[in-house]
Amino acid sequence: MNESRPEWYGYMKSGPLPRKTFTEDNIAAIEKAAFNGAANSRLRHIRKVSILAIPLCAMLLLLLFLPLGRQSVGDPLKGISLSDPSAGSISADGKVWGANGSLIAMDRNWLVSEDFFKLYQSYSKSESDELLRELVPMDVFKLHMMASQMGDRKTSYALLIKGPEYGTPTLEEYLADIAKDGELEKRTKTQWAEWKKTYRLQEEITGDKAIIRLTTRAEASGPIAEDERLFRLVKNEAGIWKVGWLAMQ
Amino acid sequence: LEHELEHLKYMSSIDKDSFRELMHTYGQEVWNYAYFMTKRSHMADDVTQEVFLSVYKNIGSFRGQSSLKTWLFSITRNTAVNYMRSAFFRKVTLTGFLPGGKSVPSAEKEALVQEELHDIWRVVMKLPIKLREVLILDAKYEMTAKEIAELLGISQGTVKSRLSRARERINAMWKEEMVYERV
Repeated sequence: MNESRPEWYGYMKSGPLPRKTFTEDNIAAIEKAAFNGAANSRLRHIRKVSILAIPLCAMLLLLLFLPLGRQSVGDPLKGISLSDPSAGSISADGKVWGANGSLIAMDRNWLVSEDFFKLYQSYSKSESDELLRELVPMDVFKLHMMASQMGDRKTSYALLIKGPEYGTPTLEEYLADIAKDGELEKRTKTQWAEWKKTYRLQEEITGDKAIIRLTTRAEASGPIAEDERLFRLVKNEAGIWKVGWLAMQ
Repeated sequence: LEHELEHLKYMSSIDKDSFRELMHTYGQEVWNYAYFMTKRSHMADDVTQEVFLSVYKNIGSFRGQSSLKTWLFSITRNTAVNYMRSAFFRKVTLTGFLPGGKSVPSAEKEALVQEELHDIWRVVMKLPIKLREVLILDAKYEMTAKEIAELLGISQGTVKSRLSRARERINAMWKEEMVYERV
């Protein structure tokens, strides 16, 4: 392919950028991630062995810990069946591991109990905000997540704060916009699955406003840089937490 | 240096010194290739990190069938494609989330990177990815049609046809660019 090489080929020998873009800092970051990652793998192996060797102990621990959690309908672990293959264990760093050793979620706040699922079904059916009255912002965030994951657009819309001051579209506009993108639901599911395994959740309330902070901690042992997303909720006039329109900041 | 790293094909794991040497030797080229694929410097950073982490874990799978560089490019290409696919998924979803986050560099920063590009690269980067990568592998890395075909998983005939189309387009765009410069 050397025949008749254009004269501009010469300019392509250098670059694309005039400076070095892969630096000692990049190398140091990769080394840190690689060597700590290897340590993590060993830890993971030990964890897997432990899970395989003493599954009954893990179950027993879960049984012991369950009653200690928050007992409201929003308790993320309440009602999770131990026969559920996804209910394995929670490690000291708060991560939720499946029985097969795979990472389920970065923290227990992502988990949804059977009671909570029933609440979701009730709300989905009635769309009555009274069902949300006792819920904290984290619970409303999770209802939104469930609706979003399931492609339950009407419930997603019902959870939104309403009123001209919030800029929320009408249901028709909302549904019409969504209908334009055939791949939207699939992408959304992928997105949530990815976030669940990437971010930890933290609730912060200031007066009538709340945010759910999604963070990846800059862990000493992990390659992930610190990253953050904020999900906004607003208390309506009835004192019920609702999802802000375009809730992410 | 490339010869010094030849021993890697006999190894099932890589020691820290060799790993560092590998990054010193090929890091910038891997980064460049990731940049050619993704057109974003922050993505190139992420892809390069992923590539070397993968190499660290899987050096045993390198058996010297291709050159070390071709093997690294192959991993880079796959990683970049997967990365771009997931980046696409992140764009618009029903989560109610707007795009953003601390880790995403500002558009201004990316624009500055674009400013740094030599004119020819600015033109090349406008090509569709299928033409772009063939042209770059030929022009910058002087890979043979056979090597490019193996790396991209296409026939040599397709390589030649894409290369020809890429050159034609650049010729036209480059001439246009030169005219603007003279005016």
